[in-house]
Amino acid sequence: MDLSVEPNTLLALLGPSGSGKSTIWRMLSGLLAPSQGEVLWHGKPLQESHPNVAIVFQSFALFPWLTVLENVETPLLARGMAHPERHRRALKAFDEVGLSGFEAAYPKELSGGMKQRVGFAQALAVEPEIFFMDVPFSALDVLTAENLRLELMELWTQKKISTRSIFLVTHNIEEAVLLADRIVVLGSNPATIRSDFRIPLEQPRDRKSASFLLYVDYIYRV
Amino acid sequence: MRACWGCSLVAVEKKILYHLAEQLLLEVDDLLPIIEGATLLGFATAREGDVKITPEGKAFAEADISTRKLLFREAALTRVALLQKIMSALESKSDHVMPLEFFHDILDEHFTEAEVLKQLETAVNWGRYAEIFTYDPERGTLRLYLAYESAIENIQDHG
Repeated sequence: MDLSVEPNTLLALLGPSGSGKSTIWRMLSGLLAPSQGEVLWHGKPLQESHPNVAIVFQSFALFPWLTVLENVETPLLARGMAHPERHRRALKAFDEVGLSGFEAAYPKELSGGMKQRVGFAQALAVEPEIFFMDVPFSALDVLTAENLRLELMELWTQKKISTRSIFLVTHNIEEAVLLADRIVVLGSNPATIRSDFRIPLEQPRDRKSASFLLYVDYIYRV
Repeated sequence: MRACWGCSLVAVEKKILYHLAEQLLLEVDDLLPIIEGATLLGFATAREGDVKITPEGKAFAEADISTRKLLFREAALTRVALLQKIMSALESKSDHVMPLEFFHDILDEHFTEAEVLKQLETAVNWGRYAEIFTYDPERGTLRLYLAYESAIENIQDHG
């Protein structure tokens, strides 16, 4: 399978369970080494370059003994960043996702949606070149998930986040059509691409518009 | 999350509630606090059994992340007596810090313990989001957000 992710693109990887979605993004982000073939970053093998990537998972893995702001600082601390800069970056990311006011709160005080925003802030603070998201909204109720999708789009289209590309793994066809510039649909046979196409629709997209529904319909039939 | 600080309980026709809940894929029990909160803040009205969004509510819904916070803050400080009280108390203190317990004791005189805890939980959530104050659960204290922000800036400037 041949796949390349270009800059300034939000790519959605859609596929049923067993299609290899998890494996693919883990290889692209460097979490997993491929058993065959290679992963290149700006033309060089992944292990040689050290790309700045950030990952947001489905479930919020926050340290319960740290405040939410300290949780946002953690990835920066892990990268050896010193205090004033670390604090400044964390506060900035915190503010961008709308969490200001909750600095001293502990994860258990927050709702699912707020916790996922902490996850986003953690990833944004790192100022990644590429941002991987693994079914990030699937553990949230419908209303909260939709709010977060729109907020993500706002941050992305207004270039409030430095990230150059977003790689979104999802099960949700409507979500992919709502958010993505490009969609790759995987087949149930692992590592086969059923379809790979661009969506040129402007943001914000209307879920009820004819073109939106056409894309959704197309994917269902692929 | 109950949000009834002396406001009359919202009376919306059952069938409208069920219809809304169905559209939003929510349980009616989860929808009710949202409607209560929205009407309290002036973002919706519940009259003659029906619930409608107000122009302020529409503006809130369509705003971006930071504008939404400002609109929420304005609505909260204008319409929620408890948050007004907390803000004035914090402003009037020289260190801008007060224990949450203080407000617990005030509410205690009028509401049951369970009700007081729910109201405080909501107040803390709303007050934090509106950037009126921060709450430190370790110390049990509220601190005026503006005071918190300048303290943070001082730390950054002096390392």
